[in-house]
Amino acid sequence: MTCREFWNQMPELEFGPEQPEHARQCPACAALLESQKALAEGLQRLAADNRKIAAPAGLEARLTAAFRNHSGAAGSRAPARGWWAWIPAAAAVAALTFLILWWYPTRLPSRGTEQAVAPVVSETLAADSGFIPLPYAEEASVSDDGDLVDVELSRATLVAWGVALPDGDPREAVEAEVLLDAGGAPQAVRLVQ
Amino acid sequence: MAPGTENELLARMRTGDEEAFLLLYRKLHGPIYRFVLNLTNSQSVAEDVTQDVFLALIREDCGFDAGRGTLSAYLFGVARKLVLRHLERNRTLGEQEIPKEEWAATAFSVNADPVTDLLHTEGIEALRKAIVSLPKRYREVVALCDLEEMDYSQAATLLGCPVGTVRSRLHRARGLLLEKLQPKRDPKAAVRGLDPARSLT
Repeated sequence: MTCREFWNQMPELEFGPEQPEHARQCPACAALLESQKALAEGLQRLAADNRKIAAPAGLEARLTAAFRNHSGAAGSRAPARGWWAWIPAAAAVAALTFLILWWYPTRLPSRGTEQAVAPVVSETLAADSGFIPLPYAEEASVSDDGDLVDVELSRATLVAWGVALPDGDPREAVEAEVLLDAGGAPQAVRLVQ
Repeated sequence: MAPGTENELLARMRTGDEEAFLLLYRKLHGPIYRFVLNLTNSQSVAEDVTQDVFLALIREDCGFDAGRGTLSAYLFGVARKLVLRHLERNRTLGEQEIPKEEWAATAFSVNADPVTDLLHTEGIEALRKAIVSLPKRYREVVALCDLEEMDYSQAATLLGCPVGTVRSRLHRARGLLLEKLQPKRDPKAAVRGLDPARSLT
């Protein structure tokens, strides 16, 4: 067997435990074969060492943050995919609207105190923060233990509450802030500038 | 840990499932990071490229088509393109990342007997440097087939070449590695060892 024939039939980097017949008779091929065995073993060791290498832990944290940001951004760009995320907000607005509508017609006529109370509230709130007290409201201020909520109310509702608005479609939604007392009852309203 | 193939995990990830994204990342980032590290010998580049690969995956218009191959192969392909772009930008360092002086020192540190040397840490380090100093077409087949133990057909798909080309590049790459790892023979030194009466050279 010639050296060329030997190497042609030698599988690449696959060596048996015994030295092939040709290598026993040809020192040059034997030396090259040993070198190749050493290289194969070195590559295997390097591959094993390599498997222990991992990217820094900070990379996972950064990519997770990017994934969260992207998921959030995608939700705001395409609300159809994440519409259920708006359910709590919609429910809150609906509850607030219900509350306002419930308080307004029931309390106003029954209590009949708006003429007495409203000016007091008006003096406190209007001077401090631009809030317009609702007709049935108790005295309140922004610093009380209440909540401030952003809502969209129809222009007609706001006008009915005494908010001065230019003429327009009474069904048009207008963004406003409503001040709630500690019990959740609306106390005052102001337009969002 | 929820089970799932790469494509199933990708589909879940597309719905905003963070766990699916993390499972995919933990499954695939290691080979990609190491592949880039082996091509560039730079941890910072490996980190940057791995980050860019997964940022591309996060984008919904990343271009992955399950009908054309596996997600893993796709991500390797993205990483390879980014590495090639990086090497192109740093052309002066691209083919010879190790300065020549350093490489010479490395070569001399290898013993005359490569069999014993490659079984030691110094020999392994010399082999790592030798791989990085290969021309990139050889470097990438060694990184894929020898270090990541990818089969030839997968490597051929990723590199966009026939399997035979992968095989011949690997053969040539291994030959070059042996050349780099074996110290240059100094004929004069060999002759001096024989203590001749007269030297004609």
